[in-house]
Amino acid sequence: MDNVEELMASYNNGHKDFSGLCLAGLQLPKADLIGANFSKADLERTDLMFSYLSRVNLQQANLSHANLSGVNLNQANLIYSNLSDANLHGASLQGADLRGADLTLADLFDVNLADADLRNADLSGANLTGACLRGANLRQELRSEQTILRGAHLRQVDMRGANLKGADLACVDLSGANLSEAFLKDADLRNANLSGANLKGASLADAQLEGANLRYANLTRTRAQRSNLAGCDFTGANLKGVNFTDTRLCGAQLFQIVMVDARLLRADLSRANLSGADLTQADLTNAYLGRTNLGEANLTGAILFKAELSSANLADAKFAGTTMPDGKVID
Amino acid sequence: MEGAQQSLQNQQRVLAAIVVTDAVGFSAQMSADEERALATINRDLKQIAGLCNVFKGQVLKSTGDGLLMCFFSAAQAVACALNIQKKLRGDSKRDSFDHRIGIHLGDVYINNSDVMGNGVNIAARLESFAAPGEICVSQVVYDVVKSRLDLDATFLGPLNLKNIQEQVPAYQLRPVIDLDICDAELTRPFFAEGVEGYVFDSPLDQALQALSDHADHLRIKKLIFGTCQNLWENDTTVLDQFSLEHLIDSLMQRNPSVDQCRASLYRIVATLNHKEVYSDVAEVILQSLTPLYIERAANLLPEAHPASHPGNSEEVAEEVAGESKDRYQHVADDLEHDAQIIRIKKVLYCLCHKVWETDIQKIEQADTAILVKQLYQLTPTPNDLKYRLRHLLHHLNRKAKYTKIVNIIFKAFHPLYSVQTELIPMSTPGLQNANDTDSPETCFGDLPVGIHPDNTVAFSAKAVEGPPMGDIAQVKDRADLFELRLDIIKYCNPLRAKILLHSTLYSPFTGSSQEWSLLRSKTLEDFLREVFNYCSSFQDLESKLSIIVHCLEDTDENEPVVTSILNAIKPYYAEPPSETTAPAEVSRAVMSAAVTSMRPASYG
Repeated sequence: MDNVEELMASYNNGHKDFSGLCLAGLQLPKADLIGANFSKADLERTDLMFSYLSRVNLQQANLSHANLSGVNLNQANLIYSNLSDANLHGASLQGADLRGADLTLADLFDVNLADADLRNADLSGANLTGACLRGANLRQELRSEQTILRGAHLRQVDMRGANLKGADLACVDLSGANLSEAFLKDADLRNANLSGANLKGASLADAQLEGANLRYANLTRTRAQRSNLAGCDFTGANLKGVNFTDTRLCGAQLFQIVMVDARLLRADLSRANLSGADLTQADLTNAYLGRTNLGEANLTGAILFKAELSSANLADAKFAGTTMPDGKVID
Repeated sequence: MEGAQQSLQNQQRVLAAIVVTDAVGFSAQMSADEERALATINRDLKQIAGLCNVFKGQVLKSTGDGLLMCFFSAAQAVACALNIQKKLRGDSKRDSFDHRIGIHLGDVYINNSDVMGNGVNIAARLESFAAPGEICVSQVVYDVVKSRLDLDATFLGPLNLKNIQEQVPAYQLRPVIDLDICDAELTRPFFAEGVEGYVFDSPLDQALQALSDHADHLRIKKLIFGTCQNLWENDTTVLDQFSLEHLIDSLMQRNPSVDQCRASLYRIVATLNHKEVYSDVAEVILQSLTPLYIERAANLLPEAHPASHPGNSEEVAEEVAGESKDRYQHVADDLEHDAQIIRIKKVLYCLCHKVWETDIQKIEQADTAILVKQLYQLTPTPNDLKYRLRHLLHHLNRKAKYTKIVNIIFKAFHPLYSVQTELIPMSTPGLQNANDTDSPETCFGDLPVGIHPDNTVAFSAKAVEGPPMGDIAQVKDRADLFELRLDIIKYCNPLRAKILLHSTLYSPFTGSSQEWSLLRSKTLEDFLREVFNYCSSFQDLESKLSIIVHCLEDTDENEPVVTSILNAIKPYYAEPPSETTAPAEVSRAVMSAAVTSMRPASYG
């Protein structure tokens, strides 16, 4: 089928099965093809701008380099489809099934992927700037399969409540993103840019965040047990009530940070810069503070029971009601 | 739009709104006075065609005493029809035919000169059901436009149309002649360029021609608009709604001499960045207007001083002044009969002094006739008055109540404008003093400063404590726009939302590669932040978006997007101030119990 009229006529006559057909390069802007079946069809470089494709079956279809900007693909089936280099600028893909889809280098700028299923999808190098992934599922199911977002652009992305368990987010730009209540357990966020990101109430347990930029990020009540935060920059971040139990924070930049009520049990804070930090009511039981800079830190009401403090810098640190390593409370 | 028009050239089936007009009593008039009937119908049809162009429609053919037009938006078609009826009926002084109009939305078969199909037949049959001066639209059309336009509509029931098998449910629409705020954006009179020029010989036409053909015509219009309204406007969609003729008219009425005109123009030029460029523009304007001033002076002299001896010209001026004063008194008396006189005076006072005065005593003491006079001098044409009234109404809370007030004022002012041709304002004493009308203090352009929502809401929240303020909805925090983004894209296409916002902020989107790259360089959130900076009030954004949606392709697709954006963004704007939230009032409310008892309904 190489003719637009033919295709539309047959669709309008109630024929909706176009599976396996070659429709590459067709011009179908603003086409109404709701509910059609294009599984395994070849739609490479097809122009479908502003088309209505909700509930369309595009399983294993080839959509690489296709123009899908502004399309409505809500609830569409895009399992294992090839969307590499496709243009999906401003498209709506709410609740779409994109499991295993190839979205490498795809343009997903300002796209709506709320509640979409992106498990095992490859989004490496994709541009997701401004996209909405609220409640989307990017969870890793098997060791060998994971959603890849390596090198993706995720600035201002809305990932509230998204499931990103085990996702590969190394080196991504998530600056200004909203990840509140997101599930990032086991995620790989090494060297990611999370500056200004909102991680309020998010779960980062066991996540890898080595070298990540967390400047001015909001980590209020974030759970990050056992995660690796070595060398992270937390300048200006809000860490009130954060759970950093068993974390690695060695060499982290925590200068003048507010960590009121933080849980830092057994955390490794060696060589971290906590000078001027507010650790009021923080729990540092069993923490390792080898050569940690706690100069001028406020430790009012903090618990340092069994913490290793011998080589830490405590010059001008404020102790009041602090439980010391030996269990004694300083008044 | 271009693509759509192109497709019109080829023969094909399209979905379009078909408008059919027909002059009532044309044949009868033809048999009575053929020449006059032909002249009248030609003029009417020319005017209809002009309006059709303004509303982006296309005239497909003439039926002799009517036109067959096609629009790609039902809303545009209805808005155009309403304007046609308003324009042709409102002009009671010159003889024109009454026209019937029928509109239907349907599939039609179009080539560049003709249109066929059931849709056309239905539109033509509906036209015959319309009362003279009114419009008959099918249910389909009504359903599409009812949410957009506040219509004065009557359901006619399912009609049996000749040669149409199925019954067609239809509505009769009446144009609202009064100032109507709800559909102001669409039905405000369009004084489009070229529509009104029938005779091409007068100095006015020559000036119009010269100015609109000038390479710098946009700057010319901007400068004239700026001088007339004391408000700089760069948005071409707004400028397009004011015809050059109308603007020149008000410019000349405010500035009775060339020198005064020069002074007014240069006063605005002095405030601009490109002073040299606009000085040249000002000179071009003055050059074109000089013959007009000469002509007006020549016409005026014998009229203004009919039998005057050089000695008693002052006496005559006084006489004229007295006469015009009576006119104001007459309007004032008219208004004072109304039970709502205090509210009326509040509006007049605000328009004259750009302060929302809530001190009842002050309002009572103000002389209605003087207020009428001041306002009339500020608004030399009914259109100016309408513009200012609407502008004020946008800033008031109790719109329904004040829409009535504003309509009363607009009606009462009618006599002033209808005698304007005999009593040219130039001879009224107030206008001798050009400063009176042009000084920024008396100009209304910057009204929002006094009662700006941002100022007043913040202020009133601080000034008044206690339970009444608790009811006022919290303005949402603009620091976090994730919720707003989601609210917008949940129900509409993110790309369309971006295109609409882009068009509102810059210029109507045409799809050029530069525009696409700009669209890619900014996120929806970036655009929303720019919108917050660009539109200081929700009403501002609302009107801009409603205008821009008609300047883009796919109006029907974009309209729901506009609704989604507006609904989602509204909580991020402070409520516009009601009359009692004005700062002066609030501080007084705290002190005086008498005024607090006048708390608006929304508080309790």
